[in-house]
Amino acid sequence: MTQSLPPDLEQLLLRGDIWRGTKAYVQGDYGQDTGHPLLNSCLVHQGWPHGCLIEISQQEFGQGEWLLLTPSLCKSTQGLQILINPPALPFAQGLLQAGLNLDRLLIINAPAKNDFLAAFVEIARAKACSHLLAWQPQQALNYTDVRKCVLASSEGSGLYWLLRPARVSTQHSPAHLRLHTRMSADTLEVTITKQKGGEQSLLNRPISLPLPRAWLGYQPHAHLDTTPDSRPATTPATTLKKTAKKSTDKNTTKITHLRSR
Amino acid sequence: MNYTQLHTTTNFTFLTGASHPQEMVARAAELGYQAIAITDECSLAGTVKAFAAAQEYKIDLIIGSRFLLSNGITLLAIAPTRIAYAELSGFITLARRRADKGNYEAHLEDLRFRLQHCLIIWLCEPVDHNNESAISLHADYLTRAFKDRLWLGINHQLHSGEQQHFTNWQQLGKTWSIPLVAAGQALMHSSKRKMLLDSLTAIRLNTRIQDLGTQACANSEAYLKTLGQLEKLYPLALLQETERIRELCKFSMEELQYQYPQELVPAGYSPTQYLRYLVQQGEQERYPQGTPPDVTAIIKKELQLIEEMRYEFYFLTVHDIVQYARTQNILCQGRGSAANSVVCYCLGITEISPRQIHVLFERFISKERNEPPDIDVDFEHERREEVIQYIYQKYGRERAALAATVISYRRRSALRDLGKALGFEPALITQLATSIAWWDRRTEWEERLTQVHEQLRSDNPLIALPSRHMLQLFFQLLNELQGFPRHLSQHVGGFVIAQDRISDLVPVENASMPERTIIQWDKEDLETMRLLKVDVLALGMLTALRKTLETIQTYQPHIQAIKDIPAEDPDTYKMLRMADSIGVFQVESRAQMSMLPRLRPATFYDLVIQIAIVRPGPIQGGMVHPFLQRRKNPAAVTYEHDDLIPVLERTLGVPIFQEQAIKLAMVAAGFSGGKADELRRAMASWGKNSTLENFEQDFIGGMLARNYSLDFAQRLFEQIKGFGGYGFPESHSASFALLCYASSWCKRHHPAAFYCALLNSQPMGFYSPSQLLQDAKRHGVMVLPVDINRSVYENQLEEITSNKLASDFFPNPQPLLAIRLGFSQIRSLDSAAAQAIERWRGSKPFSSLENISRRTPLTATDLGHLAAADAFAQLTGHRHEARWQAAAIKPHIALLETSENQQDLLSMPAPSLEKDMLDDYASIGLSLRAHPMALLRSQAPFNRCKTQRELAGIGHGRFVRVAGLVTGRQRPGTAKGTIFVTLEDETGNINVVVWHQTQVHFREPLLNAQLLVVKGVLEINAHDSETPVIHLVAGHLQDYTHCLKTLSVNSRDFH
Amino acid sequence: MDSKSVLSPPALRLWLAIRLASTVNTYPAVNNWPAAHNCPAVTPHDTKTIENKLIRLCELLYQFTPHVQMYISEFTNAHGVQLEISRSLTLFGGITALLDAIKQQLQKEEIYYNYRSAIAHTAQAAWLLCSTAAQSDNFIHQLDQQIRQYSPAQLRPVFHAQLQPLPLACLEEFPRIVIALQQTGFVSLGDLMQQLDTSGLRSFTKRFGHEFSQYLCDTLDISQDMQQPGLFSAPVPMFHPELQFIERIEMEFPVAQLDLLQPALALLLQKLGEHLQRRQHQCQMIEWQLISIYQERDLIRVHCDTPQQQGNLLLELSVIQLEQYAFRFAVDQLELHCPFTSPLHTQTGQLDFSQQSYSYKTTQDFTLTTAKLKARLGDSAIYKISYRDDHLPELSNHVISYQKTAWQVLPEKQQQALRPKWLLATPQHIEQTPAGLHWRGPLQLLAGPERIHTHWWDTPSARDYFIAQRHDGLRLWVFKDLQQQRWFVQGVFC
Repeated sequence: MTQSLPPDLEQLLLRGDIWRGTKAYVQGDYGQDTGHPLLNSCLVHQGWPHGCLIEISQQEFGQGEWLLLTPSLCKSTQGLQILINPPALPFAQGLLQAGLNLDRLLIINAPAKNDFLAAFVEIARAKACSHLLAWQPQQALNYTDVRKCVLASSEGSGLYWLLRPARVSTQHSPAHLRLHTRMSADTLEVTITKQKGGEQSLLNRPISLPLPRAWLGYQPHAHLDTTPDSRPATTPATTLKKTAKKSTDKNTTKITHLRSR
Repeated sequence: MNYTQLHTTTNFTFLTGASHPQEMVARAAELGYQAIAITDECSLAGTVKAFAAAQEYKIDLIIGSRFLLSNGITLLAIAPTRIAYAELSGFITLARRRADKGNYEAHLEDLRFRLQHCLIIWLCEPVDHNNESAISLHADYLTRAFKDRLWLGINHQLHSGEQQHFTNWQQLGKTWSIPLVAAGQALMHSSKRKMLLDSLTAIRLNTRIQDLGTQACANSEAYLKTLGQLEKLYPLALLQETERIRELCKFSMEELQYQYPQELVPAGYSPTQYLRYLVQQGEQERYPQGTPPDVTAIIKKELQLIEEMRYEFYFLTVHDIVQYARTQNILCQGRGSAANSVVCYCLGITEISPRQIHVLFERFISKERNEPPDIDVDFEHERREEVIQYIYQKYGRERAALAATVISYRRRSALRDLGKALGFEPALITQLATSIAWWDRRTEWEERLTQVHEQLRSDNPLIALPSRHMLQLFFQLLNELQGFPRHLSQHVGGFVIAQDRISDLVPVENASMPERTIIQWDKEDLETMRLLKVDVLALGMLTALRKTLETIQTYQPHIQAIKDIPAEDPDTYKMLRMADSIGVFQVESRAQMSMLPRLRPATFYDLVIQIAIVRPGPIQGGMVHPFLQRRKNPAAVTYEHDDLIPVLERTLGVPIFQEQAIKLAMVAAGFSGGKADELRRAMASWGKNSTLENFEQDFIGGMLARNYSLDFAQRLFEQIKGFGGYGFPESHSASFALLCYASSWCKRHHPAAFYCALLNSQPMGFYSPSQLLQDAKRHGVMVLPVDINRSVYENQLEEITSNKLASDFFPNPQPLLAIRLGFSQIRSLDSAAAQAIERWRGSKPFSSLENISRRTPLTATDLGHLAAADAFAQLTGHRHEARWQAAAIKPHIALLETSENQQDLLSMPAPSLEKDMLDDYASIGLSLRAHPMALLRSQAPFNRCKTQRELAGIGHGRFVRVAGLVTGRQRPGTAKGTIFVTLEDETGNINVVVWHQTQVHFREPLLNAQLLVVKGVLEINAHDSETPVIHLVAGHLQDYTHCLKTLSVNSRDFH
Repeated sequence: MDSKSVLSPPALRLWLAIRLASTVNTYPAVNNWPAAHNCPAVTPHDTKTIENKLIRLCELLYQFTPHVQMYISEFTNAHGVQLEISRSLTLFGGITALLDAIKQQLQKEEIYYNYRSAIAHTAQAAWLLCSTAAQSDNFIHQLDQQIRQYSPAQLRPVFHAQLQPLPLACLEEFPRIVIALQQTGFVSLGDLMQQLDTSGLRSFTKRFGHEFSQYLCDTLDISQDMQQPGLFSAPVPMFHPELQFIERIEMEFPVAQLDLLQPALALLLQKLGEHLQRRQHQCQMIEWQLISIYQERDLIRVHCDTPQQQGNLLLELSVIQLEQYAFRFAVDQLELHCPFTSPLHTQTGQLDFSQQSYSYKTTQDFTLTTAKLKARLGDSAIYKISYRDDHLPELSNHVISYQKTAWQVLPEKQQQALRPKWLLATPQHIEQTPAGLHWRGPLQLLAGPERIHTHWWDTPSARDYFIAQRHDGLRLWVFKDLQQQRWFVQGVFC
């Protein structure tokens, strides 16, 4: 479109939320680097989008959420990083090793749904909060609740993650970006199930992120020098049966997919 | 699987290791290790103790040390050969001498040049991405510096992430081709020591155990493990690598021979020739009319043995030191086993001639023992420093150093540090520390602690007290901690002298005193390693004797040295028999004073016995009473067998001296000299080890062979066992007897000079200046107070016209001389100013305080101290006026000297006698005015107490009440728990005996009272002594310290 | 020098000293000077609390005379007040009446319950006389008469007679000089006076310095230099009590909804802001009093974390709190109290041009958010995690209030340890089946053991920690309790 566009159309196009066929015109401000190049390449903003609700669904907690989010939490220099309803106690030693600043990490317990929503909205709006991780309360959030969260996130300029149990991934959700994470023997699989403005082809293709070496296991002390870097063939004296070596299957697992709209 | 423990930290890394070196070695042997390396932090202090244990438990000992370098590298240095050992010892010396006591500074660059032969085990820190480059730099440097002498030590303690670190280290080892070796650190010989380990860490970091957090070890794995456990902890290859290192280590501590300093032998002489020459010269001097045949025989035998053992240098070194002292006329005298040698007598080292005592050369050097002789030489304590500087200057700091003493935890210090570490309330700790007497046994102890616990609980319910469980832990830790070394300190006078550098033999480090250096081994270590040690000891009495002789010379020129003192003076022995021995060397203690009238010494040899008999050995062996019986009526002297007569003749058939035990073994059981001395040493450590049994069979067998009866043989062996160990050596006692006689002669014939010299040589002896002066006054010696116009710095004698003070106690022919106290007696006065007063005064006496302040630079505070000591009595009258005027003195404001002064007089009255007396004690530690008891005598209850002088008049067994200042508490080990207390009143000292029963009831006043009222029964036994020996058996004690107000009396307790 | 006394001030001065029984009276322990009565409780000797106590006392006594001053001894912690009462005698009808009135006033407050008082011609003398046994009542009565007839010059010897027997030790402010004097034979103040008469003040100034001789002059009311009676009397201090901010507004008509009340709230807070601005003070707590026409009162207290000088944040917090408040009655009058204000210590933080200033603004508005959240969820719902140095994981993870700063120093050894990011509040028990460990699925050990064997002094514990992997890839932090031989999950690596 070379000829000059009428001024008002031009302004319209500048808005980020106009759908333009396959590729939305990117507003120019890049997302925050996720710290995982493989994942960045699949994300529209080459990183976590600011001011949008990002939904992460997991079978249960412990499916790589810290591994996924710590790089971006460490990169930011100021602003509070707030957890709402964390599934267990954040462990100071682990966080300090990762380089997080405990003085900027605030934990809020809001078990009841209305409290959760009020807290989420209040915090999303507060400029002081740069990162928000919220775990869905006992009562599941319905569409309108998530809608409220999306609206609140759009008013703020930080990063807002909503972590929800896997069963919910079948329902529709107004979140801008929806991911699913699953730990496997030696990788963390992240699957993008919905991405506003992202190409269809990127969806539902699991991305494998490497696990830290320490999580892959070692030989017991007495056999440390025998087979370097090999997987734990035998287990130490606790009479454990040898389990089959886990193969890292790249293809999609049995988790059902639903094309997100 | 052969395993060697390479990384062991004993408790000689102070407050870090939790086991003794001996415990580590014993455990290593028990576990079947091939060898064990002791690697304390930059120190070889524990190696000799480990070496002794290694010999006993038959396991190889490897010498090494651990270093934390200034750039953060930690490594172990192992000495495989003698050269490597010298390098290691030199390196430790360099590192220690760079830093002040207790720390060290080691740099990587030093390693490359100084440790050319040592094996290095690098204890690398865990490798991760951010220190990878730094570590590879270190690896590069170390591999280039040590090539094939470098290993990578793996220390598995089941800490987190070890497996991860191992893979990185393995990678590092592969890239730089450094072999990996198992180097697990052992801080404890058994894991049961974990609680003590944490307590030591808490003490070292000066925090409570509860607050240590991760500074304490995460677990208790740092102990010597069984081979099975090791196989589970390390890959097999790493364990086998330790064997490869062990094979490289050839060095054993026995190789540490060393030669004595060569320069003593002039050119052209061999050491023996020079020694013979010196001995011949000595003979002419000692025996001007020719040496008697038996003496020459002994000399020949001694010299022959000295040559055979190659100990010539030993005698030459000591001779050289004594020669130097003689030229500077520093009084000195050899003592101990050296006094058994005629060669020493000829060399002028000792003063005991073979005539005077039974000389037993085997006691000095014996072939079997193969130990260098141990010669102690006493010097005047004020001039010993000159001798020490002479030694440093002659041999240089590199070749002469002082031995160390290991300061280790005693019960009280352990209790304080441990209480603090466990977080006990300070009040509880001080209460515990003060309430335990050092003689309480362990069981009493626990019950005493629980008592204190309850009492504190009742006084102050708020106080946080430890639980019962914590107290149990506390007892257990307290026992384990006792005996643990805390730091190295300087031995009183033990010198080690070598031909070349001492630091090739043993590391040398800084002592706390400036430019004083000590070696890291103590006296026992030197004896185990057979190194030459000369003891340069200080003896106060030698200083006092020299000063007395110097004073006597001023009015009786023919008395110059000890040998000019007329021997066997009857008056002197009469004085001693009356137990008037305060101030006399060796016989002034309470026990000696009660023995003198019973033993009634009349000759020099009686003194030798007197000094030896009041000792644990003879008392325990039950020798005292039989000897005294026989002394009273010589007819009762019988001998079991006539060939024992030459041995026991001089002690009336009763064995008293150590040498007699050895002689008996030689005569009765046919032992050789050396074997007999071995028997004596076994007796000394009787009960500690089992070697005594096999001596018993030989002894009894030998006696039966010489057809003594069996029961007599057993009785004799028991008798000897009793005192053989503790018996006092005759040679030692003889050297002391010389000084004892000299000091008593001076006291008898020149009391003024004697007491004045004693005062000028303080601190020494048993009695305080105040007690000495009271004894002087009782002997008619007048003592004049400190005076600004008549005193000088030292106490000195002063001519007085007539000696008004009639002394009923002891008539004294010395009318002329009194003692004028000097400015040195004023404790708080600055000594430089005190010394200069005489110079400032010159010949013109001071007229007033202003006059003093104009003519001298004395400051207001100096004047204040002089006023407090009443030195201005002549100028200003009483103390108040003196202080009032002294306060007004402002230096050199001449223009203010207007008329205004006159009406500046004080309107206050003179101080009371009591206040004056208290100020005297406060300023010069004694008072010439009045004895505190004299002042209190008028008040109740003292008015109804008898004085010491009145006691003689009261009959034996009468009930009496006395009062006095507590100046001494004695608890001799031989007295089965009874405590002797000395009470001093205005007329003399009262001896109070407190049986165990009374101790329990009156523990508080007994231990802490300064002024004591005692009710009890008088015990006077006059039957076996000329003057009656008076004791008061205490029934009831009461503490009246509150009457003393501000006067503090320090008592000489329990030593 | 003739023996005429050197002491006689022109105008009548009458000082009353009140000495509060301080906890520990420590005189220099010299010839057992009778220790003043001391009450058992040992309160901490810190000048701040004592000062506040004395300010309160001055306020109480302000009604009797404007001339009140505080006195705190430097060496002992004796403290109290001194009042110049000569001018209030006529108002209260004599000394005895005045003393009784003061006694009643002080009985009201427990901390001023036991005290000692004495009267003399100078503040210092009165204070010294306080430390002995109290002045007898008839002396006071006698004084009542003497005041009327005697001239000041005649009164002084009466007080000097009172001072004579006092031991030297009562001069608490000069412990070292007291000892020097005692060593020179002086025992009581009388001795000092006698020496003053004989050798004059110069001899003392020369020996013990100006400060001491000035103290003597103040006490005995003699002049320092001219050797004659003091020509001028010392100026008498005035006391200015503290004012407390109280403001009230009357509503046109009683109101029972919040939004109608809001303008009144804003107005009062605005006045408070001006008050604080004028006096350069700041406050952290305000109290609203809602008053109905029948004088029923409701009190609402509003706290703020950071001290405020402007009212707007306080307004918003008050609104939040009032939202929760159910109106019991229609509000006719509204009162704003601000009892405690502290001086505005100007923070001289260095000028920090980094984003910190940004964070100050955000924390400013974030306090509002936290206030709202706290109001809704309760205080304990918001917290932070801090590291505490301990080997046991559960003890090393310390929950602290969000206002505190977290301890973040992780020692060297712990940096390299394998640590999860989640910690279960209570370790979950793991089943031990013949097939191995099982926790919602079979477990397989990957790394370890890390042995922890510590706390032998209080809760002895011995554990071996491992990383375990479940069949579905989940990484757990498990440990075997060596004492009970049982396995637990305590953390999740994720």
